[in-house]
Amino acid sequence: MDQVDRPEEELSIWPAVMGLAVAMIGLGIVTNIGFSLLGVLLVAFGIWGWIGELIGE
Amino acid sequence: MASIAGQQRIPAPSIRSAERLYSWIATLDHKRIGILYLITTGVFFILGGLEALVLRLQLATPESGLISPEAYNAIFTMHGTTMIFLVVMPALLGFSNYLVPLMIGARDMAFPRLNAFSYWLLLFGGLLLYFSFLNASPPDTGWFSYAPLTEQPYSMNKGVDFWIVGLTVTSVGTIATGVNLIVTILALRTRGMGLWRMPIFVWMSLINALLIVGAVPSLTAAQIMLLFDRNLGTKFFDVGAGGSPILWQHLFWFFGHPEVYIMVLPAFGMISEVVPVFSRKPVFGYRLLVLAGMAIAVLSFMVWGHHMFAVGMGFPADVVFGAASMIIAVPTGIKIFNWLATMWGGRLQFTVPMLFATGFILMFTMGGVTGVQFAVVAADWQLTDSYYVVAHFHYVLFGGTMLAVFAAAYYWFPKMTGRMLDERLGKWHFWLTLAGFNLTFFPMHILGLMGMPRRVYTYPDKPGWELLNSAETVGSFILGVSTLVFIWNIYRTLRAGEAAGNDPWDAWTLEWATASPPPSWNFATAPPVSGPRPLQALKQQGVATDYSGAVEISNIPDPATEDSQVDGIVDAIQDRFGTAQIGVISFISSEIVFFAALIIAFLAYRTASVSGPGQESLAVLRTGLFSVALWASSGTLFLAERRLHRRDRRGFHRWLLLTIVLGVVFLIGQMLEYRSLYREGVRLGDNLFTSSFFTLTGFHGAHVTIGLIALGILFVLMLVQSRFDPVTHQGGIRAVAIYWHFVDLVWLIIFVAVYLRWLY
Repeated sequence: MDQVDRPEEELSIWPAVMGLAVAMIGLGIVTNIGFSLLGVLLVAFGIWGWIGELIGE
Repeated sequence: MASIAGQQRIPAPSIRSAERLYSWIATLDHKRIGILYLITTGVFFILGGLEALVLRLQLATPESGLISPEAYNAIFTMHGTTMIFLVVMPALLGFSNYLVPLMIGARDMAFPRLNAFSYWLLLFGGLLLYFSFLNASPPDTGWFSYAPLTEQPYSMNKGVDFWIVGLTVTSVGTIATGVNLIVTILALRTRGMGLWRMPIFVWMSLINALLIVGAVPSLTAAQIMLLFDRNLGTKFFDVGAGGSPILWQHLFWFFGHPEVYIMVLPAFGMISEVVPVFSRKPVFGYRLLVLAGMAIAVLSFMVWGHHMFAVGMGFPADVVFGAASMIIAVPTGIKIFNWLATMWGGRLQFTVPMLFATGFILMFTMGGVTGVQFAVVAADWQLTDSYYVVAHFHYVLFGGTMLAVFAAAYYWFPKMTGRMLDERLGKWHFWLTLAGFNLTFFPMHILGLMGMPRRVYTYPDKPGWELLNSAETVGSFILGVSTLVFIWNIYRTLRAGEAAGNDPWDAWTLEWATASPPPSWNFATAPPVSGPRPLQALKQQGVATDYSGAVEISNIPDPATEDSQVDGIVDAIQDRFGTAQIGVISFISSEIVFFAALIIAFLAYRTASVSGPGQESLAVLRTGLFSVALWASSGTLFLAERRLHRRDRRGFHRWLLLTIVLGVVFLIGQMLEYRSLYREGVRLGDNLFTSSFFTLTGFHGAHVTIGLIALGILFVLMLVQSRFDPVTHQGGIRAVAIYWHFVDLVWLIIFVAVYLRWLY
């Protein structure tokens, strides 16, 4: 930050997706395993999106 | 202080459009995430407060039947859990999130995505916990959920499971925030911001983050054991199978007492920022305050046993824990004297933040004094499980931390929103809070000494009990009114508050050297730091004090660097490791505690089984051979990294593939071990040995799997992504490698502990 510089604010939906995914895995453990399976799928989707963004940077 | 601010009225920000909503959901800006933390904890504070009011209504009169005993148990459990895990702890992290990067002159946290992920884990974990109400099974076993009450025969509904899973989700986020804060503070400080120039709030956030990383995994490990006991039939806390409920208490309080300081140290940091500014004096004994914080952190890991005096741990343990608990009062006392010495002779300005800070010093001191009494074993035996304990920890957590949070809210609200909270309403808020708080909690000391037990849904009509309890209920409603005043003040200010300007308090730290609210980039030009009060130095030099936009280079003085020995060590760490590596090393610190808890449980239980299989059932030679594959994989990964260092992409790829193959071979070996045990009729829930063996090795296997996924992702990326340059991403690859080496090292310890039984 040695020079004047005002970067645009960065946005990413993947942390929210991953947070939801982890909570769904937890919900499935307590209620119905189907939620956990959905959560695992969401985690995979979230990792894919998250890493895709990082590589793009 | 309103006169300091300008009189201009600025329009309220609109959050109506979907785009704006999305920008909040997808934000990676530490300031917005900090605000999300504060809003979320504010909502949970209201929920926890409403629960407290119901409890107080029930206790207003003796033999009351307003709510059932079951409902009372559920509500006090949710009240305690909410206030500790969803209010106090995350509110402090919210302030750290917002302020730490600004105070050290950084653009953002070290890992902005991880930061956002942590917040969403808090929100969804909290919602998961509250979903238990919708499921008609809220937890009802108290915030420390002692076994065996939490075991299946005694708690048959899903409440304890919701408690475990909800808190585990939030705990993962908390640990991630801890890691993020450590890396941010160590690696992202602006030029001239040596460690001994950091604001004390930043110091306390750093120490707090280290405590989180060291303490929270112990709770997670204990919760997993309990979850397995309840759902998979393990025996960790099953007395009938030889299990020990005391193990739960040790693991819980090894987390629980540092947790007290996790909830207090950032509050100390807040007070250390507010008191000097409104005393118009530098803080007294800056280094002593920091060192006292460090001493508290170290000692906090040595005092957990004072929560367990009633267990009957024996004389030596009682003496050690009692002495350590008394000693920890010394650094805490140092801090209190330092704040008083800062105020002494100062030009005191009793603004609302200063009123709350002064209230904090008084109330926290009272909570501290009653806390030291619990270090005396005989006194503890008399007072334990009485209302005296309830009085004590509310004086620490409400009279202490929450008053500090209110001080911080009034102090930094102008920075966060660009508007000044109303001073008159703020003073109403303060005095109502102070009066309501003392009326609610002071009589609890007396009731406790009179013998009123805590955690009971009603009480007999004994002389004096109804009067004191009724007074407490009135006090709690005064507290409720004070909260309404605060909410009204925020609402009114957001609609049409006075503009604050960049630096409404004429303060000294860097967050005031940018606009209010700060732009997403925080500082367009790096603000120079030449001492612990950088903004004050700039003001005295008559140079630029707003770094949110372009600043004439000639108007920026050169930051004088400071090279203390500590800075030298940190610089050396930074040179050796990048941010990703420091992050993964911090994360590994938490993993060490997690595995230590599981290994201790195994060592305690390996020969404690009443009946059933033991270590003799294990195939030592075969597992040893497969283990060699895992340990060899560390070597191949090392060679892969060397190839990367030489920019040999093909060589790196080859060795990486071999590492993955060796990791998979190890996992196959583990599966063969499990299969042969299964064929011999050995099951997870057979006895203490099988419970601890499968849990320990299973979690290690899960870590190997996660490591393999990370290595696999690297491998696939290199195959399919032409733009993935491993040299550019060397820092991330090194971080994955460090994690893999750690997983291999842990297996070495587990192998010795589990398989080489003739060694000990």
